[in-house]
Amino acid sequence: MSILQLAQRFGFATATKVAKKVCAYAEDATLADLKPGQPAQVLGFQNAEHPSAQRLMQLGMIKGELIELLRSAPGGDPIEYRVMGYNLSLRRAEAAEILVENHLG
Amino acid sequence: MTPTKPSDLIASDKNQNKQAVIAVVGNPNTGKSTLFNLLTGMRQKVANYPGVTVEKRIGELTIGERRFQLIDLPGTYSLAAHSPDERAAIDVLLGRIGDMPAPDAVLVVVDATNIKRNLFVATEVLELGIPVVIALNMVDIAESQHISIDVAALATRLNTVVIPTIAAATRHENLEPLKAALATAVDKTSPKPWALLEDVKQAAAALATELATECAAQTPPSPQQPAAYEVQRALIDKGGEAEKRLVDIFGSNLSRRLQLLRDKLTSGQTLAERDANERYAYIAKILDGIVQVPAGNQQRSLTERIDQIVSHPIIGSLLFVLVMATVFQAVFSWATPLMDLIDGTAGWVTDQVYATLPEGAIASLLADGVVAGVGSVVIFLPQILILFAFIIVLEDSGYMARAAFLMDRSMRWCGLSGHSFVPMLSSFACAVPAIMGTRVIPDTRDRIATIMAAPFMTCSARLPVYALLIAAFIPRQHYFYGLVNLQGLVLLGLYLLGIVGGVLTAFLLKRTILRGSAPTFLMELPPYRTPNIKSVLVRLIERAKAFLVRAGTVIFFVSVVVWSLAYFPRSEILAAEFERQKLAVEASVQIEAAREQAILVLENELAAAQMEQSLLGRMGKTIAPVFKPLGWDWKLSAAVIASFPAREVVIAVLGTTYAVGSDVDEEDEGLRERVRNAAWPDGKKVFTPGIALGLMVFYALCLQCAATVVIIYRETNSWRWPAFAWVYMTGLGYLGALACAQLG
Repeated sequence: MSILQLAQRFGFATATKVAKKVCAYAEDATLADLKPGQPAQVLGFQNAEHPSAQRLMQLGMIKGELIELLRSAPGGDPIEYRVMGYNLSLRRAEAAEILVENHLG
Repeated sequence: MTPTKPSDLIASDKNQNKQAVIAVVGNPNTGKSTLFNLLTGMRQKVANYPGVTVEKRIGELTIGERRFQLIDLPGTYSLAAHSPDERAAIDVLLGRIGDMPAPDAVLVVVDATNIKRNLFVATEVLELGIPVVIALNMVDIAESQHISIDVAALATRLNTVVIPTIAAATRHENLEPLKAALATAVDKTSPKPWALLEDVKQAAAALATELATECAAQTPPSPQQPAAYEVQRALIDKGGEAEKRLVDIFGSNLSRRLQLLRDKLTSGQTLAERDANERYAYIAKILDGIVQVPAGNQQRSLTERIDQIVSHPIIGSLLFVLVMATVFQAVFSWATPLMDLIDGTAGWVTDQVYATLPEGAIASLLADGVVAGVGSVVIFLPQILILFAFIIVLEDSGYMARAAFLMDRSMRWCGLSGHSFVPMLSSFACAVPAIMGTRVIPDTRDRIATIMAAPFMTCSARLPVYALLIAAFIPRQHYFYGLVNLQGLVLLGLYLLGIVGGVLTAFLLKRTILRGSAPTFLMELPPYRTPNIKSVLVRLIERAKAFLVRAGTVIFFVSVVVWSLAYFPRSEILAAEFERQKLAVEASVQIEAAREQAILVLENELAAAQMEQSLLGRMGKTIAPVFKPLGWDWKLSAAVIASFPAREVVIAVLGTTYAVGSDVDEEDEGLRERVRNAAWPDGKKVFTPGIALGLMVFYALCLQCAATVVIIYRETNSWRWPAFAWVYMTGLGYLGALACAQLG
């Protein structure tokens, strides 16, 4: 979290990307890392103050919900998920804001 | 019953005199609009909320003897508002919209197949303390998915009335019990809200009381006392609309007070997180034991099976091309006979007018002003209606969301989302339905950027203008053994110019004045459904009416103005000279056909001469210096001015000024010939290749369509955007033509 925030604060795009990768491995996986047919539980948000966070929570992205990746659009973005019994499409960048239980180890 | 307290007096007064108001709230894709249309039928009014682009749809519902006003609020997942458009719902519910009182009851439409998420907004509404009736809609689909719901238990736990309803493609059920429940609800007292976020509510109520005291202490006392719920929203939706409104009234100090309260109320989670988590936990408790959803990935539902094809990256994309090709094929081929019929009728009426009325101003006003004006509006109605019908059916069936899903990436680089794709594509037929179709775009900034970009696309009214100019000025040259021809290349170039112009406009707007917070694309992909025919028709008729009434009246008015400019003043001298020459021809030419031909030439020359000294001709001459750098003479300048209400009019005006008669079309060899040979007084040709190209570029970029201007006004609810679009596009057209004129 702290590496990521520092990188974002100073606007280093590459550093942010690297930090995000590091975070993904060091901490938790995000919705963007899911594979089709491999449901995962939501843990929370990278940044709870993200502009879309409230809407995403209202749409069902709350702690403990089981989310499944259904398919992605041409080019791998946006991605369609199944959440709370309905289908929701998110851009990869939004999906990467949502932390899920770590399947990566 | 004798009223004793003043509040009773007001209550009984409310029941007897005032039409009770019922607001309709619900998630998108719950069949809410279909239900609304079934309840109110054609008795609907559509307007805009002040200052925002959201539609205010009000219908009338009669139950027994009593009449109710039904307000359909925009579909929403929550009452939290982070944009002025999202605020419309909560403003209506709190009675903050100008002349509209707070509703007496709220009908919340809940999708039975997705009850958990749907109850989120339902529980928010229940907290407002207004009587609520819940329509548990689509119970038939829920049943087919083996979802069982104990409706009676649900009603008890929510402490409100729940009516299971069906509002599907061909059947609807339980509308009568729903109406009865609504009729009872409006007279009920509000149920007591349950304990949820109790500490937040108390803090909000305390702050609201403090603020009310501050309002009263002001001199003069401020009337804008905030409701406790509004303060609660301001606390939860950090940086949202409720906070903005309160800051507007009480100053930026209020932001600090709100943040202090938030810091006290949060415990490791933001208030928005607490709200979502605690509310969903509460909903789970309500639903516990009364809703049975078959476990696991039970049914490969029909939607899933369709989506494996329709949302497939490759097959789905090909299918999308096929769907859009079909739509365009239909728009152009089905509309043609109808358009020919309208054109023929207008011609017939014109002939009848001239045959029955004495020649003069009245006949000309009726034929060339009124009939031609009305005709120029109605002629596009078939295309617009067919396109509308397709858009509405694509929306209601659920396909539109898939199209947006597939196209999102391709739209992203210019700052838009997949939602903008179909409206943009539609404007290749006509910008009017395309701009109305932008209602599917949830983000206001994206929507306005799309509205600004749409008029650049090559619509069907530009085609005849291009056809005339290309045929007249672009040589029939072929390259690569006849595979490529120059005329086709120029037409392609004009199409591309429109696309580039529109896309760059969206790109620039989204990076400057329409720059918003992080772009999002949170979109529900609803299950596929067969659209309800009545609901489709209601909306189709409403949009057709909006076009005919709004655009029609303006175009009609502008047409009459342009007609008067072209008609007045009439020169008696010219008329007398014409009569003299006509007599001379009649006396000298013996063969009837030749005589008629000669008289026709004279008539056309008279029309051209009258046009030259008419107000329009004089305006053309006055404004000619402005267009001089573009290489245009006064005739062209006058024709361009006359074509601002509707670009295709330029052909008829050029026909008159070049003395080939006003009833020409773009295929007319005589007009092509005259235009090609038009010359300045010194004998130099008006149209060099550069200037002809410049004229085409001008018509490609310019906003010469009163209908589009009016529809932009209607959809953005302000004259700012249509004025901007007009000035911007006209300026671009001028610069484009100027650049081409330099080519020589």
